Amino acid sequence: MAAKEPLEIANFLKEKKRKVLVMSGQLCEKLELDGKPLLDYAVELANKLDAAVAATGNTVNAVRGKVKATKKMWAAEIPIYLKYNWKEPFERPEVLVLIGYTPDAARALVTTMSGVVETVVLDSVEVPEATASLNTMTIDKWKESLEEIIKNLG
Amino acid sequence: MSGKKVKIGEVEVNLADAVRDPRGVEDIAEDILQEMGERRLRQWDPKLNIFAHASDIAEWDEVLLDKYYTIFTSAKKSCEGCPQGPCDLSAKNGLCGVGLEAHKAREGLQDACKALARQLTHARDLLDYVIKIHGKEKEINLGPYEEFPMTNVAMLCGFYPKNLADVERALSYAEAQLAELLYAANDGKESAKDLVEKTMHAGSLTFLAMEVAETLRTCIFDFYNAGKVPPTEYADWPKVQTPVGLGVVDVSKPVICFMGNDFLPAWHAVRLIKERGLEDEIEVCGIGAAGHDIPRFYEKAKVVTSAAKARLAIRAGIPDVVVVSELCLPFDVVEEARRIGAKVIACGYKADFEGVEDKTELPLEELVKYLEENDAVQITMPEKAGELAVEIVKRAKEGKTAALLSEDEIKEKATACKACDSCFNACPNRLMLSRAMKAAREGNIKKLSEIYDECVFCAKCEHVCPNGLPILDMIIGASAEKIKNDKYMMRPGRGLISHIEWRDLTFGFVLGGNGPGMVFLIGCGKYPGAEKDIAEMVRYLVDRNCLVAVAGCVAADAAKYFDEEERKYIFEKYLAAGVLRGFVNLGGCTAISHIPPATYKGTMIGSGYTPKANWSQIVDYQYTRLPLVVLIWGAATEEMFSVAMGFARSGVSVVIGPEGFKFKTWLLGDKHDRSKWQMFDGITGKIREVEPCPVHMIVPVETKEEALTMIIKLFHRPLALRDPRLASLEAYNEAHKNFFGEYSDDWHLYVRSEHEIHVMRRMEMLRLLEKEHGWEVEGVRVKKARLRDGRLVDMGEYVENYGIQLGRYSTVVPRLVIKEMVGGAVAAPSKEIAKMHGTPKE
Ligand code: SF4
Ligand code: SF4
Repeated sequence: MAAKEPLEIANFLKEKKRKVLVMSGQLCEKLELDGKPLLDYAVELANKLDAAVAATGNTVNAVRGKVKATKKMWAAEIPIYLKYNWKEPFERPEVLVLIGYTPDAARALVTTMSGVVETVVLDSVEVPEATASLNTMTIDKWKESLEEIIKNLG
Repeated sequence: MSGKKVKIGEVEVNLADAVRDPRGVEDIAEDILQEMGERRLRQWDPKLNIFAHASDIAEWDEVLLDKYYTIFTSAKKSCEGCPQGPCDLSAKNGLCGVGLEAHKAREGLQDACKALARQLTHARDLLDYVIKIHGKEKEINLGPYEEFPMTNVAMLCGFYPKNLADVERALSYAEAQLAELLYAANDGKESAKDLVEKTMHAGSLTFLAMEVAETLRTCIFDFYNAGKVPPTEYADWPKVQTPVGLGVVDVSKPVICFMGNDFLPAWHAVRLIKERGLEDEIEVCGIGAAGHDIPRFYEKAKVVTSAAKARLAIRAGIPDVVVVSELCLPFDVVEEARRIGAKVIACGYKADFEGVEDKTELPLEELVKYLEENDAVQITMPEKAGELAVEIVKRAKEGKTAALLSEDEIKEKATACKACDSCFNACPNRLMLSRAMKAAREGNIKKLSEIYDECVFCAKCEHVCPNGLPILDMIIGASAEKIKNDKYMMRPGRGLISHIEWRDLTFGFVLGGNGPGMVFLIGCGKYPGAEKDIAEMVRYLVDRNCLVAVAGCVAADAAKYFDEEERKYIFEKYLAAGVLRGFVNLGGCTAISHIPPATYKGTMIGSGYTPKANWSQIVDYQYTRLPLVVLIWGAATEEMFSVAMGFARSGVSVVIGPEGFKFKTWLLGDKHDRSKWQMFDGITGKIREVEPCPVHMIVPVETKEEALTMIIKLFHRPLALRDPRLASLEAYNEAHKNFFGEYSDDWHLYVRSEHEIHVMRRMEMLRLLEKEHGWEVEGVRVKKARLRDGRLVDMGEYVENYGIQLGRYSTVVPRLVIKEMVGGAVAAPSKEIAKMHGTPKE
């Protein structure tokens, strides 16, 4: 089972610090958790982890300038580059944190990356195919979980 | 196998060398060789895929699958495909020998076979029906403006059907192929690659099945057909005359609503309505495939919405009688109709619903009585279903109970919501219903109405709600005004794109001109805000000189734009001809079959090659030269998956909207891997490095901005001439910069001279070439360019080493390197070819 508690996820990510790449999907622009855009959580996570953001969908415009490095990327291409030729302006990651993808897209993406990198999905729906994901939970609990992860990243 | 020899001019061809097994098809083979002619037969050894099995097209499929990675998205790791299972495939092969990759490929093939089966049964039902009435000798005549009739059939079978007997021969072949593919999909032990080839074969066969159904529509039932209309009239033909939307139906009149793939009940109902002079008394409308078929033979027909949103149309209380045949997105029509007291006539053997009885044998008066007492009935004969609908609709109206929820009722129902968010987690579009329910409880139903714009009415939320809230009814009730104002106009489908149009298009975006390319938009808008998005994408592309053609439900979504300034609907804004800045509606789902022929025509006009069982040559030409892209926006149905695989095999790249992440297979290229982007010089056989294009064959995207940018990027073709190269590069740079605030990391890979950079952007891009990519620039001229291996070379050497010289014959298929220059010079097979593939002769 991939489902993990927020604290476990935070500890896992802390261990892998500097080997993490955050992927921000289009829902980051669309969803707000009681007034706070999901994108802000992606940015905070990246900054706490000192990680770059592979901004997919249209998210690069909102991420640019807020994290140490970011680039417009295409979600479906990332598995290919990770597997065969990583030529991005940031180091090839060992862990990918996905935030802002529909459960279907997240499931497909982590499946295509299975065995290539470890994956963490921070959605409110469990994605069993990921190395780690949050449990299926309410929006309020999701917000709390994201905040707890960020707080525990130090 | 030695066999019959055919002499074409001075060239003698042993049929057994040209066809895998010529027995029974010698006449077809001989006809094709005659058409190829002596000159071509001296240049290339023919390889004819008459009545092709998947492996007969392996020559081409392998070129494709060597270049693109097959990405399987299914997470399943065990197989239960046979009684020996389940087998865990994560660590080792199953008992039958199948490995995990092959198992995933089998899943994709299963999806494609399901789609093929649906299309074949539809085509077979229609063909049998037509043969019963007209006999097998009935001629197939698509009109004087169609020079290449039924090209999907020709590509796979090797002939153009002339009558219904020929059509049946082609369809029987496809049915036998399905059986073979189903065997592989369930019991196949071949490699993942072979199974993907078979999946692409299923895609090509799906076009054939659709083409049979579409041809019968136009030839026998007189649907609008551009083949019979002079091209001088295309600019505004057919007229923009079809109302589209939930608000266009006059619900004060009795309303018959047709949905599903079978148009025949509607055809008969319309015949009766006309005979009885009831055109102004009964509303005839359609949803999904039927919705787009009916306006092609009945001017007063209305299109309510796409198949994806059929549930919305019923819940909104529009139909009094629903006539339903097989659906591409099945749902419980009977249960939904029951909610509003509408009657259901399920038409055909495949329209089986639990508890609905087949009463076809009853006389009409008894059927009417039966339907007065029951909610639904199954009728297998289309004439009877159509007649019953007309008979019953007035009485059905009287018994209807539909009413949208009032504001007070919505507020009251919202109090039952416990904010568990099961609906949010089930919703494919992540719509925050609990927040909208809270607002409604507090007296504000606006948030529910906002959800209406993003909702696809899949009912997953309702299905999981532990408190049984009628969520859809609440969303719909809160949006009564929007429903009332959902009124647009559409141009009905016209059928084929004529070869005559291609003669102009060739000058627009192949030989020169400033059109970046041609986009075919299919699918149904099952994506939040899809209707708005689709119309916006159409406008963006047409305004940049593309030709856009739509087919299937997406036409109704595309119609949803009204230009306030010009006071025109989108279909009125643009020319309906196949020209640059044209916007063409081909027709309903079966009209998707016009798309591959529309692309092959570009090749046939440009090259003169025959399409008859000549797959590799036709597709090699269009894959390497023609800027053609398909965009699928909407539900990731098996049909869409199957046709996507078919398009890829036809050398046409496919971009799929956000639901495409659910497709079982993507075909992606790696622009960084230079070994993948090579072609053969067609004269010398020498291998040349070319630009990474088209970089993907099937790629999912998240947003419309991504879709537009990717489409434009995929216009790039290695053999494009200078003006089209400039047009597509400029469009790519513009889109990437505007949508994402930065240029892409690969635009420089498509530059072969400063003349290919648009003058408006030239200085800026030249500076970037110098600063970011290490080129040497002097004023407005590139002095030295950087090859992909890192060497800085002068432009002459750059062009010599990278890409194909403009206009030089080149190919990605080793066999198609010219073996003999006409005029006498013989080109020896190059060492590279001999090493990689054997000599062309072998
Ligand atoms: S019906 Fe609408 S709100 Fe409900 S799950 Fe489907 S898309 Fe989401
Ligand atoms: S599932 Fe039902 S109860 Fe739960 S949040 Fe949604 S509407 Fe409310």
